[in-house]
Amino acid sequence: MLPTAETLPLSALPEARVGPACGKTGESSHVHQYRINVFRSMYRYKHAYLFLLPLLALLGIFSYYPIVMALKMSFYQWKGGNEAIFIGLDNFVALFKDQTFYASLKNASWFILFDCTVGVLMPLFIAELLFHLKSARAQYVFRTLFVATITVPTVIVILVWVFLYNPVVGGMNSLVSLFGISPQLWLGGTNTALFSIIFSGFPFINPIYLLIVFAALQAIPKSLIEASVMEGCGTWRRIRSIDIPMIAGQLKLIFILGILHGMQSFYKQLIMTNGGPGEETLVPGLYMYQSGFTYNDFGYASTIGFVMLILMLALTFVSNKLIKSGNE
Amino acid sequence: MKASAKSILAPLVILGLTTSLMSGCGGNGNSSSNASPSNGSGTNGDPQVSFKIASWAGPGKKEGLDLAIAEYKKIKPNVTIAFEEVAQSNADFDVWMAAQLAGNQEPEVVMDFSYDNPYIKYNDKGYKVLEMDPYLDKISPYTNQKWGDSFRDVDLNLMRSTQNGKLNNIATSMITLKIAYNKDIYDQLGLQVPKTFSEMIANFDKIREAKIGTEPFSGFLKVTSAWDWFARFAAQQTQEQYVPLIDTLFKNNKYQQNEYVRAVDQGIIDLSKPEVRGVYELFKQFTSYWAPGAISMTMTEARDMWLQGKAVHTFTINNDAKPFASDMKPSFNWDTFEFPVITKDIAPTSNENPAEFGDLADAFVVMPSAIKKNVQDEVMDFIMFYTSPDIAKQLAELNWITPTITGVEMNANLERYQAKYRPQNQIDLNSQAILGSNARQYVLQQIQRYVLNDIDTDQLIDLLSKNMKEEAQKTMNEKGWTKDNDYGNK
Repeated sequence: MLPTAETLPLSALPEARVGPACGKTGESSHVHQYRINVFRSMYRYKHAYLFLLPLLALLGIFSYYPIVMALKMSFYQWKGGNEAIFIGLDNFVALFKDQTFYASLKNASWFILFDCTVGVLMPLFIAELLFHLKSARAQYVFRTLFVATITVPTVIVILVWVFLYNPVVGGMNSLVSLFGISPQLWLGGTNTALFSIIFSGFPFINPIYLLIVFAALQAIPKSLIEASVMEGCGTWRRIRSIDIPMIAGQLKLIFILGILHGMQSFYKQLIMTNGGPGEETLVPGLYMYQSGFTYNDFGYASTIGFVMLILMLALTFVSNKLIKSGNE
Repeated sequence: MKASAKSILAPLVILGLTTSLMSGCGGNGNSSSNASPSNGSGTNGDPQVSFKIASWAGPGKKEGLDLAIAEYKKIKPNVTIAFEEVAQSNADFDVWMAAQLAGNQEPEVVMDFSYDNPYIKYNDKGYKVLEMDPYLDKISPYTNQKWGDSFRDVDLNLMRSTQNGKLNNIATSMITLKIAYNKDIYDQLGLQVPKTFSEMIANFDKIREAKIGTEPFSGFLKVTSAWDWFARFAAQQTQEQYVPLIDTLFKNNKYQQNEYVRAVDQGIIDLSKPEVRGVYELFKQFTSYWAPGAISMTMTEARDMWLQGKAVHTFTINNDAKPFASDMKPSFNWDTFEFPVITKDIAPTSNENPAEFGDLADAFVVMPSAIKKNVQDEVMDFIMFYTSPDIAKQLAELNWITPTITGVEMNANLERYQAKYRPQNQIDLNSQAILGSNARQYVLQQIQRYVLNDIDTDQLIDLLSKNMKEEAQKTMNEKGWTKDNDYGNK
């Protein structure tokens, strides 16, 4: 029988060589012992690590390497095909003086605000309604109906909204006229374009967020809910005191996802208005895309991307600190 | 035993997985030969000639070339021509061509963009392209007249390089832009086809007053096209006097980016001048008759609105000829007219000599470095054949293109898109397109705000002037152009 990590004497493992410095103080030997345990554990599960290696390699190549390259290219003037010229911090200086970038950040803040408020509250509201359905069958049916919307390609939905918003042939002006509102330019108007894009998310129920919250509600121990009912707790009190604290971790998750989505996504703006009229619906993601693929300034686009990454990390960090989940 | 088998098997599985994952990466499934078939002698003693034409994929391009090659084979059986679409887009084609040129494996002929493109892509990089000027005076065996007489002089002039004035390509089709109108509504309201800008606006007013539930015009401002077209058509009439002021380096009746940058740097181009400012004001007047929501509409949406009868006019390009005759046939009678004349009463500097969009396409460019001695004349013979009226007509019917060749009889739909005026010479001081896409997009954004009355004309001029100078300075810095080196000309 071949020796395993458990049966090998300590001295046989290369990492177990005890040097003269080790063992002199108690602290060093603990750290050293810890290191040995870690290596021993890794050796014990070496097959698992080996299986993970290809995936880690691909992750490194296709996810982390582009981030590093983006940081690198942000120090270059690179127009795509031709040679990249090192220009130091010029791109960053130009970006921090760029009024268009600040305008795009201002627009993005509206999307983030909406995604983090209505985008969190609506799935919570619907999840609570589903959770309170007495019939499991009804729960299943309604849950399926809400989640089935995920099968419709997003672009199709956006194009339908573009058609609805057409002031002449779309239905939106006919609809609002029922409420006494005069015909609007919607996507074509300076004052209406941004909120038209935001409103195109109606009813703002992201199926994935809904499932996350619903699953979290289902994980609440039934004994807690029964106890609250026996104590005479009303529904609203129970939601406030039990449900929300118990699912705070999941709410924090979709809050952070809302920040990331609001900051990064630009497909709606690209399809519906291309950032116009003027810069009214331009967001950083779209500006980055335009810088790279319309203006061919990939160095500047990389700079925008990198600054966006820093901003998102900062917002995520702050959110993590401010919002306590149930476990914290 | 079990443990040892596991420890051998696991790494093998991992190796296998990794190999199969990585095998999906890289590799080129396409292994099309780039070398033309070699020449030899034919079976009947006629020398066998063969050459290759390469291009990127385009609608109907392959079908058109295949048709022309098949017809040519009937009269010249000893000539073998291979046509290959080597890329899906122009950008990919450029990459492919660069590799071929670097490896001395370029095809004898390519189909590329016209204007200055062959010079910029090839001559500027040290590669030679065939200058076709000597062939213009040769008698084409397919028309029995000089080959140059198959084209309008104004179109040939546009095909010439601005750098050396040589004809280094021959464009075989053009993009023409017209204004399509609903003839039924014209008849209903007793309107006449407008020849001038004022007449067109008067028609728009009558349509509005009639309150028949249609908009006068369906335009689009989500992308630069409609604004660019208007700016160029108007500028061709009102700003042509600027050409000699800007064209100071090459003196070829056109101007390039460095000449334009020089003019901006030296204050020759001033957006507040009436002939430049006036174009913005005319555009605003024009867009006031557009269907609401044009800012967020694309050309397709604007065209669909017209097809639904919700607007009386819209922009149309010759690519619409085929769908308008088939699956997108309007349910009403329709026709087209050219961009109207801007008369002196509304623009005192107007030359009242209108132009229309003459963007040239499908240009043959011949690479002499790839041609063996006896093949050049055969290559040009094929091009003369391709540009003969008979073949041009067949190609027009097949692909619904507007040929550059004169004297071609076309069907009724295509006839509506025939170029009647001279092609616009790309003079344009308003859109700033020559300074790059950044400048162009900025102008569009401000035009959108201007059209929506968020800013007035003075504010627009201020913003655009500032941006124009910044972009010109940026270009000078990037390209190392200064007054001392004559903006790159020294």
